[in-house]
Amino acid sequence: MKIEKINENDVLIIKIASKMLDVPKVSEFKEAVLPLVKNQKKIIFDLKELFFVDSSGCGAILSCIRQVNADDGEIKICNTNKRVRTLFELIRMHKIVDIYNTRQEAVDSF
Amino acid sequence: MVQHLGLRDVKGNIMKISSNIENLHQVRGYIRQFGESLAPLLPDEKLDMLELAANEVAANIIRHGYDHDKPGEFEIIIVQDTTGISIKFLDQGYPFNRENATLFNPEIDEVIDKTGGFGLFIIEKIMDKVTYDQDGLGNNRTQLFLKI
Repeated sequence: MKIEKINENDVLIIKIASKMLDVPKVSEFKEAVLPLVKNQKKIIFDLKELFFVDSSGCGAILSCIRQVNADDGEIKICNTNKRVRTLFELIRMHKIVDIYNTRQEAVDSF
Repeated sequence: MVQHLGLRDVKGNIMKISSNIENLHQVRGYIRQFGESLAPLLPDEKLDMLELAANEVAANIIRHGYDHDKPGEFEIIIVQDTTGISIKFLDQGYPFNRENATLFNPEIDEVIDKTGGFGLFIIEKIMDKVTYDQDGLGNNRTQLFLKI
């Protein structure tokens, strides 16, 4: 899975450069992303290229949020398409993570 | 390929697929292709959710119905009539017992604490009717219905 890591001031932006985050991709996602977010305080997941997420993908993102929260950090999400946003709202993820329309809005929110 | 079943306003299609998790995208593609053939009856938002629900059922069959010791195939039969879309999954894996399943419950569960149970919650939340049983031929049968 292609992951792009960008540092913008003190914010770590992780761009998931993959179209799918489903069962076959979840292990790869966790292996790539969990080490990146360890001990980070300000993180943005940019999901602009992510076309489809399923329940296991949500679980993988939640794993990252749990780890970052445990390190007193925070993950914010931006650039979700409509279907991904609908899924996040369905399982109430928007209650525990801030979701922004653009990366800039997410960066500015820290 | 859409097959006409000889009934007015009824369309149907069938797919057989092996229990390999890498095949999940084929399930989504099959549902999407069928859904798009119904346009404009099925709006994009509803098709997205139908595709997601089918993905979750197929993932459950592959991950929990079958395993490395018991690989196999399952069938997906999709039918549209004037009331809605029915998707039937037939498999011969380990039976699923809904009563023993623990679903995510947003009224009492904190999503951050949950590590599973989202799939069934999503399926049952999205679809208008979901049933799990066995047919007379010994197949596990999961049926989804979405009104259109």
